[in-house]
Amino acid sequence: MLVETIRLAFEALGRNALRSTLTGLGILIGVGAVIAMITIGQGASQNVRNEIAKLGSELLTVSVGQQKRGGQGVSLAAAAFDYADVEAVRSEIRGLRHVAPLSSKIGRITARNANWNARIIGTENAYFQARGWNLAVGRLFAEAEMYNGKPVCLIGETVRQRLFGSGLGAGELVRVAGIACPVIGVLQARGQTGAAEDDDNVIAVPFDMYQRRIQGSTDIQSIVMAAYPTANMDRLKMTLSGLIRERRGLGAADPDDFTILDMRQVAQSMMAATRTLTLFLGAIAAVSLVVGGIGIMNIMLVSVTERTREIGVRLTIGALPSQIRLQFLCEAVILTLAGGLLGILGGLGTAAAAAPHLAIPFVLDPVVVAVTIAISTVLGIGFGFAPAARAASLDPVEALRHV
Amino acid sequence: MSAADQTEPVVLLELARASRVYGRGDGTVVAMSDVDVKVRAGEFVTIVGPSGSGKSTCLNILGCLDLPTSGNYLLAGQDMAQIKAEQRAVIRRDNIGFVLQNPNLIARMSALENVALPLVYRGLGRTERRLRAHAALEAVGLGNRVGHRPDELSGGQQQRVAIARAIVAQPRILIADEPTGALDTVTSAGVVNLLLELNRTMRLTVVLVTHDQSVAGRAPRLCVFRDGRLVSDETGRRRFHAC
Ligand SMILES: Nc1ncnc2c1ncn2[C@@H]1O[C@H](COP(=O)(O)OP(=O)(O)OP(=O)(O)O)[C@@H](O)[C@H]1O
Ligand SMILES: [Mg+2]
Repeated sequence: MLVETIRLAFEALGRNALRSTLTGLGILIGVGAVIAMITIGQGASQNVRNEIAKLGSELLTVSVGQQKRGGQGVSLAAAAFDYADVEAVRSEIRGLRHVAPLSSKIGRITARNANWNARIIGTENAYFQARGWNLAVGRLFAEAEMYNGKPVCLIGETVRQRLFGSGLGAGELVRVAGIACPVIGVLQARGQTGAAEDDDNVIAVPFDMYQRRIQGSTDIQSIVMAAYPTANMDRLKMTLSGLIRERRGLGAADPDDFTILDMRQVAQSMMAATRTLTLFLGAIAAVSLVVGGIGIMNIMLVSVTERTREIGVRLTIGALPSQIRLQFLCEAVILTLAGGLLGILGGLGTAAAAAPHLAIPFVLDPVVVAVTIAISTVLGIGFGFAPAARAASLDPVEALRHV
Repeated sequence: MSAADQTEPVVLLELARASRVYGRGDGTVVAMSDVDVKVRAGEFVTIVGPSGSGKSTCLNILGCLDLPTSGNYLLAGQDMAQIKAEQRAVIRRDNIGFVLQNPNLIARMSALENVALPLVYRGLGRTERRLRAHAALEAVGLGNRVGHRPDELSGGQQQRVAIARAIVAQPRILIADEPTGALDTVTSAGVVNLLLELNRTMRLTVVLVTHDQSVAGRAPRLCVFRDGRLVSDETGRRRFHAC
């Protein structure tokens, strides 16, 4: 009987193919929007997770000035760090694995006949260790190179590509601020992270050389640290803050003129933000799904009215009200399921197409797909119920009189 | 009662002081009042009466499409007011075939599909449905028109398809409300003959409403309605011989 009812439902829908298609389209768009939004949102979350994993959640950075998150607003009054600060952190704060000074600026670099703008950083080997950033080829700075100002450099993958194309890079000569530096190593690609700045577009020179020959001062913009995984980050941040305040002579009433950035904290707030965004976008998309459902209800009600006489005939020749109800429910469910399935394909397709442009991975979550199919069915039954009930409760005598 | 009554078939349909009132308050219409009638299995009952006299109202109740507002209607001894609508629909499905003034065929379906439709609701398989629908169309003399759509059939043929649809599920009772109302005299005689034949050959109980005097003239049992009342109910040997 159910097979027969489904066949009848298909037949009824097929009779008004255009109308059925348009009605299904409402659901298709609704489901498609929900799926696309959630999938893109999940991609963004995945992206954040990946990035955090890359950076390492034990990473701490203390920078000069009060920075708004993501902003660049270094307050002018804040004094830079110096190497004594680095030494102090190294010797006085327990729980840190690596501590490295870091200064950087954007500058032009040239090699043979190519030139390119990249971030030039001056640092120590500890920086790469802190970030878990390995070399693809070559070696890190030698002890001597770090402190005698000898010009050598490590280049990121983007820089290697731009300057040397398919060439290895290591062993070549690069000019940084007019100084010829042999490339002693190439850093592993960190990949497109979706961050504003390409992590791989970097050229690193020994800290000493950077201060003396590029920056022309002993200022240090920030100190990068990696804690032991077992360290208590909150306590660590407190002692770090205390130490730096003391060294900078800040009174109890003075606000911090430096910022401590904790990757785990950043990770948490970014995850929370993407989750909120995903839910928000999903909720907006869900509105269109509800609109689609109401469209189904509307069309089904019209259809019941149109078919009143036929329903009367069917009741007269032996159809049971329950069978009439089932047929209309089937029609609604078929519409929502068909719209839903196509919507899932459309939504996933949209998400897959958008992912590269948004620089996020495409995450196919079977749970989301299953839940959406379930929701489509429930929606069909929910919005089909009133029309189906109306059809089933028709009085056959009245219905037959209907023109 | 005479000895002959002992062999008489069981009472299939029974109206007992049945009335049907439409509307509430001031605007009520008494469509049928205090009708007592018994129809035995295998009978052929013809109902006549002026327009608005309550014939259709009575048939709708006999066909389990409607209920009396007072009094009782019993089908095979069961009071229809005592059961739920869905159950009444089941009883209707299992016992009653309808032929209406208008054939009410579904336009996009062939004659065969129209006739097979009642069987869909009885859960029969496709092949079984086709076989039975074919047989029913043969029985009404349309074995050669199975694939035609209603708009490719004449009025009389459409009404025959409707009769085939009414008998395809082998109901015990056939209810026909002016099945010849829209037909010319010759065609309508054919349709009535078909009903009489089905009554004879299949022992089908028939209740027929008609305006046609010639049909009324040869009816084995004639009930006359006037202003919602059953004013005359005659069964006569004379009538049997007449047909
Ligand atoms: N749904 C309804 N609401 C109100 N009054 C109704 C309704 N149906 C029928 N009636 C009234 O009941 C009375 C009997 O109607 P019915 O249809 O039974 O007459 P009929 O004998 O079949 O007439 P006809 O020969 O014209 O078909 C009429 O006066 C009619 O107006
Ligand atoms: Mg009538």
